[in-house]
Amino acid sequence: MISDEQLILYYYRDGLSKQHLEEISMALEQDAQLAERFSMLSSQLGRLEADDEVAAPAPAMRRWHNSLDQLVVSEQRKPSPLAWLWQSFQSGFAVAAAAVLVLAVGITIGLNLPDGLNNPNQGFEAAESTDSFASGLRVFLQETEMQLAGLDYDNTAQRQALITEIISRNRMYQLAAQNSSDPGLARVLRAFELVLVSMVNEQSSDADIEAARAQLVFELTAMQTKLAHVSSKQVPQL
Amino acid sequence: MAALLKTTTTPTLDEFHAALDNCGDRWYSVCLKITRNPAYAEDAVQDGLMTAWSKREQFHGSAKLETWIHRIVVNAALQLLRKNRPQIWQPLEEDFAVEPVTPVDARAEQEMGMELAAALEQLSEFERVCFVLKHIEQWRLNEIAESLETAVSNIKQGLFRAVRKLRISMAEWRSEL
Repeated sequence: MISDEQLILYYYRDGLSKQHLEEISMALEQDAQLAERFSMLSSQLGRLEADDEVAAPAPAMRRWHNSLDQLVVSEQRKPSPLAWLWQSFQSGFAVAAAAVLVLAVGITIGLNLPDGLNNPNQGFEAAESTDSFASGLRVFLQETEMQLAGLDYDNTAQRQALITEIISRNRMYQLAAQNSSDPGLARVLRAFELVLVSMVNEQSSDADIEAARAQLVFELTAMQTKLAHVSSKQVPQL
Repeated sequence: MAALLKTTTTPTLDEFHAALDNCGDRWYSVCLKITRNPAYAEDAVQDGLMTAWSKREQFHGSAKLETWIHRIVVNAALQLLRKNRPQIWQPLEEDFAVEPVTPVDARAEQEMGMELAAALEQLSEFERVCFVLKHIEQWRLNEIAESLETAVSNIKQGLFRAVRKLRISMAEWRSEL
């Protein structure tokens, strides 16, 4: 007796040995009832073919095209490893110094704590760290929105320096989001970076930059609104 | 000779844009069928495109660029689904329940076309992914198992259950018509 499961595999010509396939073929030729069962299965599965293609939403299609363009711009602007190191050193120096200081203070305090206090509740620590990440992110978004609102179009060098600094800070949050397993947030921040990069592209006209700035300000406002709804003890899952 | 040389060339940005114009709808559709969530589907296409662009030098022209990107986009959808709902690849015994329909599902259904969407709605996430990859994407069972990091026998069971449920719901529609 050939089961429906075997007929399904036969329909797909997958998951059965060559010998098994031949046996079912022969049985189908000899057994009218089996042939009818298989015909019904084929007709039902045939009706579920993928002929109902859906049009992708137009804004999504535009976003995908833009992302490709921006990715190329981003690649073209990628500095050499040495230049990148130097740039990272410059922009990350203050942050690194602050981090070292915080770590040093933390270690000092930790070493001097009495035993009973030297094993803090990890859940509390995690919540606090999450909370400071979210509030840091909120401040960053707020500052960035204000900086972009007052962008100086006449002074190209100043504008580029400002945006490069924003990109650098954005990358830190992007990295932190990745490390805290929040791919949604990391993806949003990566999308911000692509727009920011387009703003420092030398080939971009003032109109392009203005359009990118307006888009970014809109996105930043939307994200801040979203964050405002998120509990202060949670990392935003976007 | 010119055609031969062309197939070994790394695809250009214009070729990516052309592939997107030609197949963007198809990529979005399959991601929508896999994720049943328009936002995930959009993200999956975007992630897939980014990945394809970053790996474009690995494209050797043995398949069409569109087909090559299609596969990457499908993998991006699976990855996204797994990241957001890791429990969906858990043991099959726990996978029998049909998930409740959410407003997001309803929008996906509206976008996907009623018949197939309504059929897929009857399936659990695992069954749906097995069915879409096998029936629509025509992957081999062992490829699906590899991609979902499970045994071929589990994929077979998921597929059998999917087909069984779909046949029942199709019979019900017929009787209602």
